[in-house]
Amino acid sequence: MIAAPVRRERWYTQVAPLATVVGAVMLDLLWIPVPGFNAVTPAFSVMAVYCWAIWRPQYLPYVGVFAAGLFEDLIRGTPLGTGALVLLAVQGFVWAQQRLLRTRSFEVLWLGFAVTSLIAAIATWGAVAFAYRTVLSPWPGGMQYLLTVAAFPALAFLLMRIERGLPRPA
Amino acid sequence: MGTRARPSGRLWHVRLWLQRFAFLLLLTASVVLLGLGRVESPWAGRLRAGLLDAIAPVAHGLSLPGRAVADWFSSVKDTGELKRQNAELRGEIESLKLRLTALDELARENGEFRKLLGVQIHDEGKHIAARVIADPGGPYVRTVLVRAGHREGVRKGRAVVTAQGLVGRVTDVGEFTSRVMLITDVNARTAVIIGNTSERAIMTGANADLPRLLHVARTGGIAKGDKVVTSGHDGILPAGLPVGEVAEVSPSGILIRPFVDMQNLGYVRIIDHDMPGLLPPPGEPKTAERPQRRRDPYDGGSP
Repeated sequence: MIAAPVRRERWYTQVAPLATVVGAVMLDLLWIPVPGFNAVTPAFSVMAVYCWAIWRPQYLPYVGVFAAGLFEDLIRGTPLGTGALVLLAVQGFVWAQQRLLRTRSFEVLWLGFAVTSLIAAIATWGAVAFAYRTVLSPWPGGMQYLLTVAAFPALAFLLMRIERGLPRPA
Repeated sequence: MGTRARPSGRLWHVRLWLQRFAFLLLLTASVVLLGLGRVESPWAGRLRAGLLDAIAPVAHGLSLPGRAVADWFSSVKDTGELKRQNAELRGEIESLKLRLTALDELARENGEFRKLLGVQIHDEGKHIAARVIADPGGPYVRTVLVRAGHREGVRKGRAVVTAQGLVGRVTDVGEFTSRVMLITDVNARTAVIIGNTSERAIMTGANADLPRLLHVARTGGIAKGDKVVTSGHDGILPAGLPVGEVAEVSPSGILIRPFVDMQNLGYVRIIDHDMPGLLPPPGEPKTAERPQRRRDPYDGGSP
């Protein structure tokens, strides 16, 4: 009996999803002045986790997402655990809605992201309030949510190009 | 992806359960970490400080486009006002020249009186200039990264100011980068005095542009426009630093408008001061200039 040929996967196929999530975390340092608000940046890491959890979930390990979340907290200065909780919540939600979100239609992908990032925004607000033991104004988070949903097509397009450049799963 | 041997049904179920278990475990770990948020862990502090230096160049690069756009809008907005301001400033310079002469005389007199009374003035410390390189906080944290660290002599807890007034204090120190918690951050607490009443209070950030006053004994005499300065009673910040002015007095609270525009921070100064009678924060090296502990007259042993 002849064994089925086992092709070795390219290392970058396995590394690309998590590497882009870490890159997206670094983009949090992008400074966008919004009058009346503190410097608000779109939640790029949420976008990256959302996209890769749909397209290549097998290369996005929970431990890696957890570590990326901790890294985000250390950069931002937010309470440790906030980023990890939010990114894991995004991954869990996408995992639960996999069938619905695996679509070729960009509109559905964007709509799904609007719902997912709303969950992420509420989770962030709740996590920070829990860590600080105080109720915070939700408006800055609301502004970030709108900015995140608006900026999604740009980063999603970039990630889509990366994803299409990677070898297809057999 | 290569063609892998498909796992058998039982193996697939085991892997699925392991994945679910790992997911729940990590979710629980995140919640536990959040619960411990108030506990200042030394390893998290060291990790934060170490990361600051690593991310500083990226942070600086990524902040440039936003800063350039903000500067451009600011310059366009300001052009119309420049003419009027110029005329105003010329008049102001003349009146300030006169006041400066009077102040010089007062300073000389003050010095003589101090000499007569034998008053010792606390050393106000040196200033370390630092450039603001990033604002990575996000919606619920108000911090900035500045380009100065251990190498320049920055230490945790130091007051950060601009020419207008207090900005915040240093919370994490890397080798050449530090993180500054702004007075508008929800975790910021500043002991202040309200100018006209000499009423003491604690000012706390509210994750908004206007911090609020807590623990004010008598609010009766406080009015809109009253100046607010640090009192030094928190044992962290030196006394007398300008903070802001009362913006609103209402039954729900007293709001303060900081003198410093936190959204347009370019350069700041870190005051390297030592609060008399305080021990250095844990992990901070004792410096040569720190005042020596006075020898206990009832202790016969070595100091």
